[in-house]
Amino acid sequence: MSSHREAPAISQDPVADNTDVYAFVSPDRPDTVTLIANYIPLEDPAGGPNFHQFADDVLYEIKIDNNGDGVEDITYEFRFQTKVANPNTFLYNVGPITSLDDPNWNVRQFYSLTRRAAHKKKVLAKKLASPPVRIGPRSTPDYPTLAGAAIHDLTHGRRVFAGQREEGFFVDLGSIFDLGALRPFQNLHLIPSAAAAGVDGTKGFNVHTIALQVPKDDLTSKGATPTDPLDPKSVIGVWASASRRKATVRDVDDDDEKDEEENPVRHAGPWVQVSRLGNPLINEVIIPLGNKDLWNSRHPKGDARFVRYYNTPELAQLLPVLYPGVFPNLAALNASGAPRADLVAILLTGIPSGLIPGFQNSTGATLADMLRLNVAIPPAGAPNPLGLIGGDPAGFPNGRRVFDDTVAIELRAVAGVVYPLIDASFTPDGAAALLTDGTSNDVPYLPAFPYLGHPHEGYEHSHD
Amino acid sequence: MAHRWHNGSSRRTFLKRAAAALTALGVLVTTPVWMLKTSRDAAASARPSEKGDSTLSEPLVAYVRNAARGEVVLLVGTKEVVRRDPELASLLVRCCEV
Repeated sequence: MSSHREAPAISQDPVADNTDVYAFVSPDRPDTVTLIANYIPLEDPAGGPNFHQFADDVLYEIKIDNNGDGVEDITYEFRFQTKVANPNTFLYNVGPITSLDDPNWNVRQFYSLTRRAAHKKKVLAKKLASPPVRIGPRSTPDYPTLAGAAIHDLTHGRRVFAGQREEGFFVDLGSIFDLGALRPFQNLHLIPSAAAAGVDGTKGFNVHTIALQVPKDDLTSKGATPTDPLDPKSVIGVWASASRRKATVRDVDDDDEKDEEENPVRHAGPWVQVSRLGNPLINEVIIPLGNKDLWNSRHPKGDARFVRYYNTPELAQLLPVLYPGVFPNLAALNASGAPRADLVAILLTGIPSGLIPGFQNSTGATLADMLRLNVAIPPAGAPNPLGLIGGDPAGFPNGRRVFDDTVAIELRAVAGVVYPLIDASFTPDGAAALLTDGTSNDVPYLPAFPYLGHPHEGYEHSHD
Repeated sequence: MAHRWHNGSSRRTFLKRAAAALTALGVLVTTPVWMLKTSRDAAASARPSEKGDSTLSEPLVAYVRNAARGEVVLLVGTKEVVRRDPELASLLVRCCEV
């Protein structure tokens, strides 16, 4: 998946697992940018009695680089605190939850939002309420109202939401990890079967979302509001991360006579990054198993150490093998040993001016895995989920919108559809521009913040 | 069930004894917070003053990363200090030899 359970270590720590990052000029507030960081992969809606929630002991951050060095210039820091009103019941709620201060709601989460820029640190808000999870018709009968109440307007036109959402990422998980099968084309697979429609492997699942909408001048260098897409200062790099404290001590002994209400888990030391995410599917597909945990722990500014995996992606080598005779030009490109400068540009530096008329999202020479967004490019009137390769410069890999079909886009890119940008003599295989896993999302996206759909309820949901 | 050391004392008892020993030596718990640097200090450093103000309000975690090199890592709050102190490392190792 995009970055769900993508590395051995973080697959064992779902509350700290970045699943998706989105960054786009807000279609309904085009003077702002919306930043979304999702966590907790494959969250089953029926998760009671201890429903999924953010972790109190994880530092969640969204980071912005606005001068191209791969180092964050602005950081939005989120810290959560869980409050249990009545510890003497096993229940999350003891009646219908109809408001964010409903006494029937027993397990609540609150959070703080802090903005760091250079050496300045400013707490933007404290004790912001998250909504409850969506349980069912008895417990959360009017979920959209509850979720709407958890959208908080802050100073300087900022808006924030942190809580459960429908998993907006769609992918045929079951098929892709069955030896790279794409159901619409599996009749051409090395181990063939009849072609079929794609199956969304994330259907019926939820995530936990941190969504932040801020004016463009909150993100750009020197607080500018760029209007020229070709101005290098129009481009920002975005990624999100999760960090844990360096040491955890479970200070419990059977013969201990301590206060039963005292938390026996102690943390000490600096925050240590355990997960990060910029572009989708990178640690998932580009980085090999032996380096996935390392990649998660490292800063984007050091991504030059991973560039060989972008230059010779394993997936590009596999496609001609898994689909015999379908990708002869890609096979020849692979055999030539030419580095995939197209993928390096898209994923590690941004696309420079001069390749696509009127477009660029380059952040310079520093190799860093960030989602690059040119904030001077306005939202599309008729968005194409295939983004830039579909002729829509407001979509991935210029930032990423919630509905962008990043699986199809990256499959096609890896198969060579954009390689002619750096080598005009290369002709992509006919199949490259058709690649897709055949999936789409199971729930409509919202037209306004936080854009991801309302979560599935535990009472009634389906993964089929 | 808590792990018990072979002499019958519990882990907590052991830790209390170890902490008491360290306190007496003025090694750890008398280290004032302000002396705990935010960056790693891998260079050999002098033993802190024994007259420091013992004001730690949070647990302090120490682990011997490399006993042979005398490398001890101290974690308190969100700070980390790496000390090269063979004597301290050796003391901590000896404390475990029950």
